[in-house]
Amino acid sequence: MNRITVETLLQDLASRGLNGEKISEQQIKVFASKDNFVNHLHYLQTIGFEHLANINGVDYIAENEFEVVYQVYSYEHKIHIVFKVRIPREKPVILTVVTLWEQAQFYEQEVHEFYGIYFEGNKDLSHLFLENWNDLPPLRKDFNTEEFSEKLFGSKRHGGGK
Amino acid sequence: MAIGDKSISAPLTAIKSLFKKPVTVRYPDEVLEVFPEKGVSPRFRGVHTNDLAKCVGCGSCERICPVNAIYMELPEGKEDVKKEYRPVIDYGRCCFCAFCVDVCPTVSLKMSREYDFTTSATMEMRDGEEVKFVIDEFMFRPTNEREDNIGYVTGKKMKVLG
Amino acid sequence: MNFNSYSLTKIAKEDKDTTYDLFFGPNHPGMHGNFGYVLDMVGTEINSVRPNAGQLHRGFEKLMEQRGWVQNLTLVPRICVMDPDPNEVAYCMSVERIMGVEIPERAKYLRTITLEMSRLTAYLLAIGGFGGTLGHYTPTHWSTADRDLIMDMFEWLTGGRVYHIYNIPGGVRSDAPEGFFDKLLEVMDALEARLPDYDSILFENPIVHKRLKGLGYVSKEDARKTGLSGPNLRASGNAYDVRKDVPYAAYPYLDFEIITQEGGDALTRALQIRLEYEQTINLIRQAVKKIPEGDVRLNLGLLGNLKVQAGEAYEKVESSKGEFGYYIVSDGGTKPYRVSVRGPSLPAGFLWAQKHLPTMKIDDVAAWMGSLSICPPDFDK
Repeated sequence: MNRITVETLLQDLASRGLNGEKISEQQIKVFASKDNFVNHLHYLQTIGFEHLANINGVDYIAENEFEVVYQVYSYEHKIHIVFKVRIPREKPVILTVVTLWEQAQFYEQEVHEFYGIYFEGNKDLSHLFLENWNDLPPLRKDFNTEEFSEKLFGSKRHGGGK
Repeated sequence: MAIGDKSISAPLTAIKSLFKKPVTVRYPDEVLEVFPEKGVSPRFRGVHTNDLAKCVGCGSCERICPVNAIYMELPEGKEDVKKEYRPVIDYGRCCFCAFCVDVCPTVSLKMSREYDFTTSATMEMRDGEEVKFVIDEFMFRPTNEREDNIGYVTGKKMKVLG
Repeated sequence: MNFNSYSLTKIAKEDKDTTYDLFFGPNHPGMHGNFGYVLDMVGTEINSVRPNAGQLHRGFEKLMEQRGWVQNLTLVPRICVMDPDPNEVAYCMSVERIMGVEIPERAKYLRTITLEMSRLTAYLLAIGGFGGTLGHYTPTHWSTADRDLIMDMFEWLTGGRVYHIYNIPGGVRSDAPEGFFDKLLEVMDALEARLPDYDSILFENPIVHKRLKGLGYVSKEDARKTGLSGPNLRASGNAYDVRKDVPYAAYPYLDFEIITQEGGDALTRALQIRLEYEQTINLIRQAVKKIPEGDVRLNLGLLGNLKVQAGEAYEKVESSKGEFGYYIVSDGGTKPYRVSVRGPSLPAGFLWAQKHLPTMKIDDVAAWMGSLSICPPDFDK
């Protein structure tokens, strides 16, 4: 397999209907739609992008959208892809990638826990870190930490000089 | 023999460390002799010291403090103007990052090489009362008293955040 | 090894009521931090495992959205206690990538030196960990004492021993003091002279070989596919190293080869740490020799109210455990919009625990964790 560069990769992905942008010589970002992103990830996996480093969410509350970001890297081509999928903030559902990468199970559990995003096809979306949590998922931008801690610990402010 | 090959007699070499001097430094009877000056490092980030005459009460340290440990308070018997305010530091919160030293525009706030926070508790503590010795020993306005034992300081050449 | 030879397991298997849940951690002496596995046991053999995380969750990612760009630097090193500098450097590199700035050469070398010093402290802890988890406490005592030599160097350079908070967007906070590099080279000589001692008590010890050989085997393909990184990946025969593949700091100027081993079991991973330890000493020597004169920091204005233009970047750093990545999104304000941390331990701590621990004996769990360098703070962040 030939070593591909950022430019040829962007062209290749554009021919498959994926828009991308260059971040650096070894890093690009790609925007995919939620309908067929799993196919694109599968294609990337077959051309050598076999390392899924992380899955994380971003809450774009102003645009009323969540973004699920897949950090994919190729050991062969030495290129990192920030693979972004936007989903609406109401009823956030996205397909799982557990079939492609086994460790995605735990990353998806984490994203579900902190953003409330449902991963369709993931059998176990139980909480990994937070126990007995029934508040809003905490990494959403509309989760108010101050309000939460006042509710939990009382309203007395600690510290604040003599 | 390659590294990591098995050898039955090899572990017996540990016996020779029986005849070595211990590496422990028995503080406070002994002090470290690693650095050019005796004791802790010349750049040690310990308890603050503040040259009250040079301090202009700008409040930069209060704003940069990541843990809200610094409060600008008016010393007794001073006129209530901004330049008379001096920082009070809550050592229950301080994380000793020294960003306050870095931002100080007049280089009046420095850190000393003193780090001993042990103190004797008194029996006057009562339920529900603010613990007095905590306030006295862990929240105070740094003054010139540790000026002869200065640790971390940002000189003019090394000015970081300004 | 034939597990049925253990009489306790044999008795337990005959009696239906003797399976029990064992909470391995958070306060088990073999556990690396506030994390636990709930092990379903039959006698001394493990049936199934359930990771019990969350006891160390401090909400770092949420906290970072509420602090300034520079203030966050006091927070990021706390994500990995043993090896704090990769976090600082990865965070700073991400910010610098978004801002589109290049730091001065001398700062790059100083970053490299602190990164490698931090790697040494982490490897020494790992060596001590191997000893401790196998009930062989001599290397633990030795490595704690040797680690202190590097901690002293950190104290001299940065003012702090454990959390250095030395890197800052645009470079490092202060130049090295006079005489620092000479002393550092002396420390490197002292540490290198200690290596034969570690070899003879730990790496050549037949009991250690017997305990670690074949434990927790990871094949070459599996290691690549399941997201393992760092020494774990290289001990399975994959020649990948972030320092070489996506060069950062001063690594492009230094001369080193990626060390790989075939084997993929706990013993190979222990030896990998031993070999990379030697390489790290060599890298520090090279960096000290080549360090240029000059500035250590870019002037980015008042860093207290630093504003970073809108953008995003993922930057990674090779730590002693694997790839540490920081994905930062900025909306152009004085605070990050989102910081997501990729810790190296999650694939091993969750996924490989499910694969390896069943049928393993209880005595091997701590050694297995140590060999995969599972450090709970970086997934329980």
